[in-house]
Amino acid sequence: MARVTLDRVNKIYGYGPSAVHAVEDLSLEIEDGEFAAILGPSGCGKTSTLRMIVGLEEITSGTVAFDGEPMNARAPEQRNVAMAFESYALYPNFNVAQNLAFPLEVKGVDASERQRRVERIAGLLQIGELMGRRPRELSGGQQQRVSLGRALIREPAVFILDEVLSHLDAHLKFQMLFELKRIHQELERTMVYVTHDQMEALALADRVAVMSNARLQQFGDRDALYDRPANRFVADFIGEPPTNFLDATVVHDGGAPLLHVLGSDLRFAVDGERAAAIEAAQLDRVTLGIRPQNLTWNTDGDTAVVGATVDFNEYLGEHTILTLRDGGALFRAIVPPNVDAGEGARVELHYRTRNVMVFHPETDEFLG
Amino acid sequence: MSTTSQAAFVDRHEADVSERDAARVWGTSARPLPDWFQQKRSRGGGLVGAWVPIVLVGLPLAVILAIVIYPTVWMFYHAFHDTNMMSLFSGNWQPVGFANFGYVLTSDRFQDSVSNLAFYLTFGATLQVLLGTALALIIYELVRPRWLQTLVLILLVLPMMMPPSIAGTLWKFLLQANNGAINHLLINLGLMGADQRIEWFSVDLSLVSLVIADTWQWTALPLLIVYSGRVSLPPAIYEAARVDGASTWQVLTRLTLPMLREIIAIAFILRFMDAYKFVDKVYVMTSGGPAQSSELPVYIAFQKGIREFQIGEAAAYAIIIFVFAAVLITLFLQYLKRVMRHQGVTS
Ligand SMILES: Nc1ncnc2c1ncn2[C@@H]1O[C@H](COP(=O)(O)OP(=O)(O)OP(=O)(O)O)[C@@H](O)[C@H]1O
Ligand SMILES: [Mg+2]
Repeated sequence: MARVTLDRVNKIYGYGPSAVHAVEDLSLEIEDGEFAAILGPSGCGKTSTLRMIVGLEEITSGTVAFDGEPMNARAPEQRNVAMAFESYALYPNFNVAQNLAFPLEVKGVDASERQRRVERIAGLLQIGELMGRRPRELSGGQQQRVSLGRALIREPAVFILDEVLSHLDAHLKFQMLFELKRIHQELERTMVYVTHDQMEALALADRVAVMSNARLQQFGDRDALYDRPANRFVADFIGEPPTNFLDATVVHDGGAPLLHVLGSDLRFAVDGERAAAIEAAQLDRVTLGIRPQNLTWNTDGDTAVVGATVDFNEYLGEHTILTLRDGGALFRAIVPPNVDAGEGARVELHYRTRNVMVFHPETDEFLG
Repeated sequence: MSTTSQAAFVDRHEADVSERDAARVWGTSARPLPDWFQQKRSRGGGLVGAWVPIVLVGLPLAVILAIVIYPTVWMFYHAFHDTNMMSLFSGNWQPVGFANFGYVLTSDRFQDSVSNLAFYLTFGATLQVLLGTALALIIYELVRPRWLQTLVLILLVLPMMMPPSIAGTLWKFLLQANNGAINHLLINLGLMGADQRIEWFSVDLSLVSLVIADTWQWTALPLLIVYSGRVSLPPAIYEAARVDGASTWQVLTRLTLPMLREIIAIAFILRFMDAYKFVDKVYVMTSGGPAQSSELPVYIAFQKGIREFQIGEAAAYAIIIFVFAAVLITLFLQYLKRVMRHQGVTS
């Protein structure tokens, strides 16, 4: 069990003009026993970060520490971590049972105990019938679960899991998420879970570190990421469908500022907190963001309203996504499945003023 | 070729077939093929004259007949005759049944040569494969900069580029009892008194000397094979093993060697096959001596046939060796197949 601290960690691959700055000034503190996820688009440096935590990759600069003790000079085998690799890295000459048992075998765990734990983990991951097969006789998703099992069979200080569910169908993924969560609760070990699927990250993790372009954008829990995204990237990346972003001018109409969306007649009101933030930044142009979920069809009274024309109506069973237009501005809203909003219809949508997010137009930072 | 004759050609031979194909692929009803395509096809058919295939197939066939098939048949024939220098030139050889084989198989000379071969296979070929494997893994593991690895490999491969007879001659000098560099070296290292001499070409040691020279020259072959096998093993597996906490020894015995098993078997088969035609060094270093102590079956066959013109006996030798080799190679391939099936390479 360990608290994992990364302090201004950098990773640069190669030298000179071909150098790749894969991780830039990453500082992160993962609590003992916490389930942390690293979320970000492909190539943003997630695997590189994990490999530095595990010790497979040299740290260009900065410190990785477990419980405050620097690990930079320690080899992977001295760090007491278990890792499930993105590429599975199964031992091709072993069958599934032998693969699962290998970490225990090298530790000298006796055969009957090994057998017991292999059977337990295989049961959890639903690979019990595959025990005699070799890795090349397995499907991608089966290999992935064996690789996950080989990490989970140990009881290390830190579990490092690199995209361990990416090849599973939605149904199986859901079951595995549940098992993972349960294993975490049972073992109470620190887990670092990498994924580019926000659903997985938000479902599993206590806190999620969002990365983009080698940098940490934000490290926080669900609510923080959802309601107070650090910048436009996080607001865009978290949430499905993505947040609507509209360029707007700030108009002071007597008291509270009003946001006039450029190239359209849309007007968004903001609450006091946001108004203060805009005042403080002394901006007359901002990027406003509003989630499609926060533009509602029905109202309970305490809302403001915008009107727009329906451009597109996507009926998805549980709900309908409307793509709306007003002048040059395009945005989306999620509405109940059977609303009467044919293409070309003029509709009104409701929102709470506190759900309007305001970003700096140049730096994309969250203002309020 | 005129358009009409083309059309006629296509009509006769291919039009129906290709249009049917086209219909199958594109799912359309028979559609005429484009002009350029038909031209290509019909021109392709008449590109070369009728004699060209005959020459292309016939010439190699004739060569193979002359240098492989005819001599082989000739050899089998004479293995059952008492052909020697005299009868070969006078042309009156007599059939003797299996007498040649009986003579060869019961002769001390043959039996000694077989035990020499067994010695050579055990301490020569096997040693080379073991040594090559060990060196390959050590170089891969311990020599860190890649360029240095390449350099070491090139240096180790150099002996292999030398003609075997030259290498044999070189070692004949090195191993001379009185002035040879090896004895000098042993004395200078203090491993042996200044007045002592190891008689490398004595009855007891001549075969050992051959093995030393051959190992010096050929260890690099299994080394290269195993090295390339090791390079192609996925590094991620080794990372996983490190994270799992496996020791170097566990990684070697549980992962690396099992994964390289077929590759090592192939290296062994290659060295094994070479051992059968191991004549050159014997010829230049010991001439099979002293007192036939370093003779191998092939060398005797060569002596009997080319030196003494005992054609019948030499042919019997050759056939016995061939059968022996064929059996062993079959066993090896059987083993290899089993291993590959076990590893899931083939089904
Ligand atoms: N060994 C390496 N040598 C050079 N560049 C590398 C190396 N490994 C990764 N990179 C580069 O570093 C950057 C980050 O790679 P990394 O594997 O950490 O991404 P990732 O976030 O895990 O992506 P994915 O979701 O696709 O797995 C990428 O631009 C990649 O090309
Ligand atoms: Mg990755």
